[in-house]
Amino acid sequence: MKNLKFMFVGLLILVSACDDSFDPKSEFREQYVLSAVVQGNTKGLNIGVNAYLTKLYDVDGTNPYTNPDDPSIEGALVQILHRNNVYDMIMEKLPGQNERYNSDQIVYSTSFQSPRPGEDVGIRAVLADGTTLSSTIQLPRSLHFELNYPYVRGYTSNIDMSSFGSALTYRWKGSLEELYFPTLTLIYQQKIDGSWVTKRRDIPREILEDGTEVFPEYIYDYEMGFDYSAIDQIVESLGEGLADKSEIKLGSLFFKLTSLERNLANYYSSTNGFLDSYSIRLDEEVYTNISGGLGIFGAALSFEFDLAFDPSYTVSYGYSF
Amino acid sequence: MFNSKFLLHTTLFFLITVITCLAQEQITTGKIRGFVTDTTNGERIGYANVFVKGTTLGAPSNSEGYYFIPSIPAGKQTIIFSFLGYEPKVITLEIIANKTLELDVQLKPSSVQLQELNVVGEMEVRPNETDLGIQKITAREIEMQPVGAEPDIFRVLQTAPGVNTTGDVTSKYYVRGGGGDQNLILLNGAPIYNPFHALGIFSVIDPEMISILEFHKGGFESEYGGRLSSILNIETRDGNKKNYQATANASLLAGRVSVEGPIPYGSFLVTGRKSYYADILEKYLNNDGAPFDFYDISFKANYGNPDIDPDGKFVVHGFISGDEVKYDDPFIEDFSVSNKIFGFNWNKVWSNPLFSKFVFAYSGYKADVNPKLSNSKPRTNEVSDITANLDFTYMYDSKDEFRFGLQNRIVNTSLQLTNLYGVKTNYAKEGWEMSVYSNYKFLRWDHVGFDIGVRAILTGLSEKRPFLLEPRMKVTYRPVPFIALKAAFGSYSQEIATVSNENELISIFEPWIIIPDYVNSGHATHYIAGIKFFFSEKMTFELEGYYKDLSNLIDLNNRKYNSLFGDYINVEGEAYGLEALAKFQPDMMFISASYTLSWAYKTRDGEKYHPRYDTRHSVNLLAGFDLGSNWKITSNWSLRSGMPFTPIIGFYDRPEVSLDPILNINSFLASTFWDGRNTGRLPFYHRLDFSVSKKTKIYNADVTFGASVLNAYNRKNIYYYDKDSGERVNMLPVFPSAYIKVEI
Repeated sequence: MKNLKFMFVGLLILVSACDDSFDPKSEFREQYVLSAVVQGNTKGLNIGVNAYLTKLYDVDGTNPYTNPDDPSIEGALVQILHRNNVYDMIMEKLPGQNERYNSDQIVYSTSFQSPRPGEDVGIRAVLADGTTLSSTIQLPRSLHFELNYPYVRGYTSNIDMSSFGSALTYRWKGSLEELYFPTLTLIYQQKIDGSWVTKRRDIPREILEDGTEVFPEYIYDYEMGFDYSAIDQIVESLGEGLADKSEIKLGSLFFKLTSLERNLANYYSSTNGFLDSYSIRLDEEVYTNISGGLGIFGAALSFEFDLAFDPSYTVSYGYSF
Repeated sequence: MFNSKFLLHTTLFFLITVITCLAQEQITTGKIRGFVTDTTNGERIGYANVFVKGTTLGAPSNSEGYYFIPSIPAGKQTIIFSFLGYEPKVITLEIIANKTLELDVQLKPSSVQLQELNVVGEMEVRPNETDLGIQKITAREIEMQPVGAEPDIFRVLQTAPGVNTTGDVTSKYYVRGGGGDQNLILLNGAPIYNPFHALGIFSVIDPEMISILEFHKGGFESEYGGRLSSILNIETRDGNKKNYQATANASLLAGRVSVEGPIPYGSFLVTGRKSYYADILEKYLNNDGAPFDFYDISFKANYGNPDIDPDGKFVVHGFISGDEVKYDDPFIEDFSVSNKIFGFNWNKVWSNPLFSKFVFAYSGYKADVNPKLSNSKPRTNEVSDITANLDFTYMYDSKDEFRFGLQNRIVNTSLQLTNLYGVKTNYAKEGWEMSVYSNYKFLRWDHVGFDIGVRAILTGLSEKRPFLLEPRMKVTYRPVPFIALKAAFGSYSQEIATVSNENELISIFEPWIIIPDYVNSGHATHYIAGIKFFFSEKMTFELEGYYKDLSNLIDLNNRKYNSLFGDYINVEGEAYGLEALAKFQPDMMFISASYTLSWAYKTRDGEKYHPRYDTRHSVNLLAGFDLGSNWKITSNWSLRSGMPFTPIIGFYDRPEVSLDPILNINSFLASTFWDGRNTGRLPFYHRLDFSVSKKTKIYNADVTFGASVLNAYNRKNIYYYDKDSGERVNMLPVFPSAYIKVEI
């Protein structure tokens, strides 16, 4: 029994002396990161692409914001592949625009003949050490809009809401994989010092009782409604404080729908989550579609729709027609 | 629902059953049967040993205290009744051929306390018992554990080889590489869906109300189903049948009272527990000011009037528990979790050697997250489960046993969530699971025990069920008296599971759902083999090896990027290991030592990795000493490999998605680039706990004073590494506590 006790105590001492140091890191390995988005609208002749090329870095500890050195990579060959054409991207240094590192922002950019919705576009980056990063995507497909009410004379809120609802609602036939960002902008003119100046004002989809304006966010839905009451309040607010309301001239309601193709939509979804106070999440999984490295290659196309105002609606606020 | 396939399988099942029954031999000898109870309170004693002196005849009592011994040679015989913690009783009587003698026996508690610390059943009346993987634990053993904030049955389970946990913060346990939701917990036959108080820190089961706790680590018989890894079967006490009794306990965290006593033809027991000092829990959680509040109430009443139902007992029972975390701060979300169980049982000993048990129970569970003004989203999970089981045990003269039954569960689950984009979803599903089972135990040969059974799931909860018939088998072979060779095999399925993110170490919201139609329900196959050495009555050593094949486990799809992806996916699993357990019980002392070497894997999207609860090495040393004069010291030292974690390789800057431009160069976010999933491992965990108690008499009351220290040498066991703050977060520091118990 005595031996047993000694063994027990000895084991305790031995184990207590065990090294309990802990390093949350494994050995650092070089990786490259390519981030690029094809972005444009369907009306332009050309479409632009900006690409950012960086590399993995390490810091003392686990706070990456202590990294003082810009990880951007210069001098790589970055190309856009569209149909049978290869477009070299030009490296630019935007002076002082990299706020994080207080340095020049390294951007690779080009433009090319506007592709048709649904077409394939590729990117390829060849680094000085021979590493190649690449990806191919399909642009968002074409979208067609419908409104919940045939506004033949232009927009008015003076409609039968029991039949057509209480919101100006845009609908489109989309894809389950794509993500959409709808915006509605009021375009109007105001006479300032005798000249008509064009102005824009974003319309919220809803204005709460306490006056909070709720604007659209990225959605997977195929429709977005803007409350008539919200549009009316914004329109009415244009003339507030003006002695002569005829100095305001309503232009149109400009609806713009930005469609993110599948990869960019996945990337957005993977980086926007929430936790409650008790959940301790240990790691995260960020979407990537770059072969040979990390990052994202995606595309966003904007589709636009203009809706004029019904003259009687404009006049009801005392504005010019 | 009742299609031709259903009828075919039902017919097949009953044919097997009838053929098995007909195969029995007829023996014309005498029999005895009866109940074993406690002299002091009349409580029935489960798993007591009853054997006929000078023969190999004997049987343990079942969980209801009922025993039956057939084939006793006619004439004068001496019957010995014994149970650890009780004085043995010897009765000599005349056995009459072809007659069954009724013999109810009362055992008197022994004055030597530490003998009761053993797991029940070491002194075997059935050397060929097919009990591989089963551990029967008494309330006394639970008392032996050093007490932390509250006595806890799950902490007792965690000392068993093959049972693992992920930290001091949770009582959640993992059995032989299976997930936490693969463990079925039954309270008087009704399932408990949330067995934890205070975010999982300890169990809702008040140890004082437990009569018998039966833990099946694997290879469980066909009467159990619905889970892939383990069964914890808890039977609560009936209550004192002789005297009225009140007990009050106070720990640093909660107060508890219980009242019990006789009623005409029966007894009752009511217990209640309520937290009053939540600050203790903050030490567990590293969360200052967490406003925990919990309670649990249970009741049980039994009635056995021989004029109404000879040898029958009716039981009504209930259990209610609630947990709340409510902040005054409107920017921190509130949580609430509740269980409600109400049940009716009818146990009956029929005139022939048939024992039946009817269970009808409702079990409800609700968890709710109220985000208030915080960034989290509202979430609600509700489960309602109606169980109706009819189980029979037939005991043959040959000592063989035949068990069969019909089990039904009607389950409703609903999970209401608001997703990232503010869209509300409600996944609701209802199912009826009807199963029949049969299980035949060949116990007629002294050196060999053989247990074969099958469970047929006739109607299931989920759409995609991989198996209809689940065969089960166990065998025990005693080539020499001091060695038992054992093996088991079983096929298991599970159609209801919790869905939680395994990358979250603590998550208060772990909803139960019936497996959705687009994924398969889980399946497991257990292969177990073991050897047990009986060096003496006071010293045993056992070695068990297991292999567990798991398929179609359900997991959150963390690559769900749009509505084309399902919320859940199937992943595969595998676990294997070797467990050693040695027990030594000299006078006034109890020592047990266990070691487990194990591996657990999951395979997801082709990537094979260790789940968070994988532990390579695990050691537990448990010791208890009776110092005399009602002084008792117990201690527990545990050591295990650290949890796997995913190491950091480096960091990179990724652009944030905005609107114009889509990739905002002024909004780059620094992100972590991770190594392979769970390829790193935290340092070893080890901890020493001990407690001391003294029982004394003050006026008419029995008063027990106790004190304990958890993590006595203040080991800094790492819990996780907060990469945002760069801080290492440790588990429980040295933690002294005290309690007092008064019994009147």
